[in-house]
Amino acid sequence: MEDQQRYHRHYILPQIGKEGQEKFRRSKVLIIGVGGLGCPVAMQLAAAGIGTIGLVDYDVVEASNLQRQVLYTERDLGKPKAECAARRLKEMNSECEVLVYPWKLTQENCVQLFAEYDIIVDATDNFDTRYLISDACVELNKPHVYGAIYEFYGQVAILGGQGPCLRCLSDPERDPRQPISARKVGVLAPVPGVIGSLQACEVLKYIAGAGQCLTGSMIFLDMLTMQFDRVELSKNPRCPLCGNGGTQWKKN
Amino acid sequence: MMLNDRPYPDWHEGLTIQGVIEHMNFTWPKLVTKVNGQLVWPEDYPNVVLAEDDDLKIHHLLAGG
Repeated sequence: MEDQQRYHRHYILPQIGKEGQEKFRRSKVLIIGVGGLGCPVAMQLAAAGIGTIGLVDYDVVEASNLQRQVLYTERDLGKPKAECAARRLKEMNSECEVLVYPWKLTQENCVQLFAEYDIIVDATDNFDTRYLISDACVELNKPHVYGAIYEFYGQVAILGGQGPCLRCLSDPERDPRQPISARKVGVLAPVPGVIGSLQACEVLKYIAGAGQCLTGSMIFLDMLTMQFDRVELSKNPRCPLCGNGGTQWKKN
Repeated sequence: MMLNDRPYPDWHEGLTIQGVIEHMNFTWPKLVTKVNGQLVWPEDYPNVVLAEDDDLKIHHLLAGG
């Protein structure tokens, strides 16, 4: 299929154009978690023409996933998510290289893995992994595209780089309390679709240099009342990781 | 004073962000707070005194995916 036809709607966007599309093709994006958020992120990025997508997930598809994790079908039940997702993405766009990492992200493996990618998308469901991602992104100076959901609520930010890291916002050593496990709360089916699509949108804008990204900002969406708020963030001078200008790998 | 776009009925002289959090019984961890559009770090919640016309927004970080 000719790129001219396939990506015509990108080509005619002045902020993207043929040059932006070529940047998409050369880009490597790593998605941590292929659940509610990771599915729409991966679908949007594969359809948009990202050249290489990495998928990190060691879960298998369960019946309760099918309500919102839109990459999977009933025939995928019991199978590894990352492999099922990769197959669907290749069906969507055969020119997209999809690499699968069906293992748990750890402090030992994440820096080496992240180094292979341009952008890291955080689509996980727990703070332990989110801090691991944030710390590695600070270490490698990679953009950390943060997305999170709960019931009818969601939030998106780009952390890392010149902006704050997750520890700037909340240091788990000062406030170790954990929120209710995401596995124990409800979520309206389209909520991860909305937030995951916003994460994908930020990835594409970031790569193309289009508009104003959420770099150093976080948006909060209340989809029950359809209210929206944006908070401009900054590095916390008391951050234990990046507060003093330098970076130091956080030993958990 | 406004709290999350609604009038906060219990404003009083000397009220701090920490006072609002305790009064409202906000028990969620990992809050992101701004006053009149300016981010306030968690370490400063006990020290930031709120004026009667302040606009306070309190969000909390989510973990679900």
